[in-house]
Amino acid sequence: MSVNIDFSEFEGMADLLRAEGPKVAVLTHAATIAVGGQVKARAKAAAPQDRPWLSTDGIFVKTRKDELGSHSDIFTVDDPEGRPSAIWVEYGDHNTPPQPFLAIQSQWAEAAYPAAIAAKVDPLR
Amino acid sequence: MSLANLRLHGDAVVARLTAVGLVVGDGTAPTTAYGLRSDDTFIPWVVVYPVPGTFDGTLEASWDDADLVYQATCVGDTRAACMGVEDMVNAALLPAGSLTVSGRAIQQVRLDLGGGVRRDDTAKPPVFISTPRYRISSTPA
Repeated sequence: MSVNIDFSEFEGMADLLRAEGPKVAVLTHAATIAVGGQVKARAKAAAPQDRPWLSTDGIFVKTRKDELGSHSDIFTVDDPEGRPSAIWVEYGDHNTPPQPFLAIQSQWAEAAYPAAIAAKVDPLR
Repeated sequence: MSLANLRLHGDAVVARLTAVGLVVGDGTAPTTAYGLRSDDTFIPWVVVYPVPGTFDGTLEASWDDADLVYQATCVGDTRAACMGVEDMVNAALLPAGSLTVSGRAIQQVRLDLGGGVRRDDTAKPPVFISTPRYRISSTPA
């Protein structure tokens, strides 16, 4: 058995960042906006349909860019009565099963986000 | 192809938590004595729920590797009791070799999301719950 570790991709990315850093940052931010929007859409689709407020007005996305890079926060807000009902839906209570709609989207995003950045950046090579 | 047997993985989690002395519910509140007793004692409990996970693998066997996620809803009558249950669940599941599933190698159990206690007023009297999630990485043995 052997393990082959290929660093050529990293070297290529380092060269690209040196040559096209600002462009890569812009494209990465565009990918962040796109994936953040997709995560929000997936969370809305997965939210329980018997709580229409949550799927229509309860989930938001906020994307920002700072010196550390691009960030996308997908979050819920209190319901119209001011209760944090989304957390009780996501995780359940002492007697009610969880109905995961948001946290599970991170599993999808773990693969989708790097792929979206690669799709944007690769044409620069 | 050797797809993960979901039932066996869930059984292993429930069996492990039961073995360390926890009162365990399998997808629903436990059937053995739990909660507030007539003599004012309170028996904390945990309920195990499977949560959607992910599957991966090689080109030949695309779904052989499984990351299965379970939520352990830990319930106590006080913050401390609730966190005590969570500590017991962590101690039971997280060490290497804690879970065995026939035909599978459990590579790792890791805490996907932990900590945080909420007061649950849907119970009378109110209880405290925490809802850690555990990711079990399983591959064919």
